[in-house]
Amino acid sequence: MSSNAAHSVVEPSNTSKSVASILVVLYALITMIPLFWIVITGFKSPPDSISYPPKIVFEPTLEGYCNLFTTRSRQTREYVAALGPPEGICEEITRKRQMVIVGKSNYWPRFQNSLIIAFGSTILAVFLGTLTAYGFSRFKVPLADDLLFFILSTRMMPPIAVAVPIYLMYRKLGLSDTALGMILLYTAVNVSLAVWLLKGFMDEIPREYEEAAMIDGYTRLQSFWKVVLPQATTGIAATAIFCLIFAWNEYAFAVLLTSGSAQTAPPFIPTIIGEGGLDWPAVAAGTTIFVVPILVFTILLRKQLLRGITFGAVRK
Amino acid sequence: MADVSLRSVSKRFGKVSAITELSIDIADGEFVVLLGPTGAGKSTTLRLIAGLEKPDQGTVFIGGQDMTTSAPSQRDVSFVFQQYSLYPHLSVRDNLAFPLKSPAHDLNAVQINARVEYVAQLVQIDHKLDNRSTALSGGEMQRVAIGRALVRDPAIFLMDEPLSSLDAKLRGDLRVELKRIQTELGATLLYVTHDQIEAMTMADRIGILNDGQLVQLGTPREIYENPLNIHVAARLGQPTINLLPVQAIAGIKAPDLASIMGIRTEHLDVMDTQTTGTSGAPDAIGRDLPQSDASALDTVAKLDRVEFLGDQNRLHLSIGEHRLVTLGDGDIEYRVQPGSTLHVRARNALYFDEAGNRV
Ligand SMILES: Nc1ncnc2c1ncn2[C@@H]1O[C@H](COP(=O)(O)OP(=O)(O)OP(=O)(O)O)[C@@H](O)[C@H]1O
Ligand SMILES: [Mg+2]
Repeated sequence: MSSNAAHSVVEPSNTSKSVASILVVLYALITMIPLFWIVITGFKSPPDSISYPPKIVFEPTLEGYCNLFTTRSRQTREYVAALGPPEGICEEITRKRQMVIVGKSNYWPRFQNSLIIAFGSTILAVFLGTLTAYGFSRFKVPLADDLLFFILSTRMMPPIAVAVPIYLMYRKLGLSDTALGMILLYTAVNVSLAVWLLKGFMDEIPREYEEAAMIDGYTRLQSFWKVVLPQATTGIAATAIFCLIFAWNEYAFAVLLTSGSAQTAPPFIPTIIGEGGLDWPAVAAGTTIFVVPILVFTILLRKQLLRGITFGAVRK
Repeated sequence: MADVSLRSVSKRFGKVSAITELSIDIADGEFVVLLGPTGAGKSTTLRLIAGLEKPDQGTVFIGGQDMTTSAPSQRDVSFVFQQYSLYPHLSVRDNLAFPLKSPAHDLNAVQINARVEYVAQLVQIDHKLDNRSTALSGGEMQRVAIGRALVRDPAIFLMDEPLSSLDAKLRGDLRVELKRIQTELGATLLYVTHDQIEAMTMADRIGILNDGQLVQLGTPREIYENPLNIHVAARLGQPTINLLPVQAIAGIKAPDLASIMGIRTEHLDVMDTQTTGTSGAPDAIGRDLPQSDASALDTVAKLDRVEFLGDQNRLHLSIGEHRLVTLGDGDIEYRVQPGSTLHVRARNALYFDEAGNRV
């Protein structure tokens, strides 16, 4: 890791390192193309977005973003001309197409639903997962291996296999189309992943640290809080990102179980197409904004993810 | 500081009996060293006192109080672990302050800081107080680990091979330092080690553990000179005591029940047979050849090998099929060659019966 690693016999040669870097950069660029296309489509006008051959050079417009956040209605030329000066850029763009803004679209409420449900279920899954993993790692749990396998087995079925029973169950319980229902569902799916990932990290943290803390006058809970958790941050961060990505992107259950007030963004975004013809720029704008929270979250936790686990103070 | 007693304490892990009926009394201010081979139950004994393990039976007294079922935090002990010494996410200062910030103490920041600075000077780590604990050498980490035990004034310090992972020089330095600190503080200390030099130099009393049992407890001199059985005799002494079957060598007049004879290397004297043949000639090995016990060994042996260790030579001898080791002066290899025959004589031999007990 340090500068003297360059002298290591297992260190790859400079040529193979540069070949590898070129390949990695190429691969990264290729995988970025769809994302790049989505981002630029968000700034195209609807005709540009469907023109053939596809346009790479175009005149950028905020029409997609305006359409994403508003609902509009078509008016006669005279009606539009009779209106006062436009308020804001969106009104201006809309009027050019002989339409007026009549209200806000559902995108922002759906996006908020996504935030609440994804972050809520992530926090809950990581919280439960951390405590469960610690318990399995430190205490003699009867039938621990069987229990752990059972916990994992909940993830072995494809969502579609349990969709119908969950749909019926949720209707009976009144959890259909509620944020609470979705949080519980995503937590249930993610907690198995969280337990397994975190158990590995907990096992790596030597017990001696907690034992030392308990001898020094702390209770088990206090030593867990002061000694174990700080050392588990890497694992917790990694687990949280995995859980969040799942809950954020989940589509199948969301389509099935939410339709109105608790609908998340993934099932909502496709419905934009239907509202005003083939409004691809609005869809692309919605998708671009949808990617941002995951991006920010991952960048914020990047340090924890990359830091690796500190076993530095261990005498070996 | 306080006295600590174990009363017939036993502890099993599944089928393994780690500690069997162990009783020991450690007086206030005493330095007791536990010595024993790996797996003897040394760490388990410390963990039982600290409350990290619950005994299956028996009682643990700390300061006269029955603490058998108390939580570790209530026992007021300090522990230096065999491994994993420092909290990696804390600085050296915070590591040292950690025990003082516990709910068991009611100290303000000024008091904590003063105590930390004092201990940092004691273990000579005050120049690195604000380092990350991961940015220390092994020896410095160990100083901090010992310091973290010393910041408190507990009933007893428990130390599990605290110096074992250090190089010989540092181990020697810290050993002297630790003994000085213990004397200064008048601390009660139970110390586990594999290293007999640590045991001999630091201990007020040594306890020899084997297979979960306390075989013998006594001052270093008692243990060395008066071992109760072969196991204890073999624990101390470098090189280890020479053990010979009594019947194997003609002319030994041993006590009736004796079956094995133990001769410490310093009690096994050798001289060159050629030179002793001519009367009055000086001892080939360069030292006076004292009288042997009437009963002990007095015979010839073949010199197999000489190991040069700088301050001394180790002579590997054989009497028939039996191998022995003794010490010679630094320049012996100039006078006798491997393969030559030497006269050997033993003093102060120890005798053991068939079961290995002293007779
Ligand atoms: N948590 C445990 N579970 C099962 N067996 C254990 C446990 N702790 C100790 N033992 C067993 O108890 C016996 C004594 O172990 P202990 O750690 O006290 O030995 P030790 O004298 O400290 O050895 P070392 O010098 O190698 O540290 C060993 O046989 C060990 O395998
Ligand atoms: Mg041990």
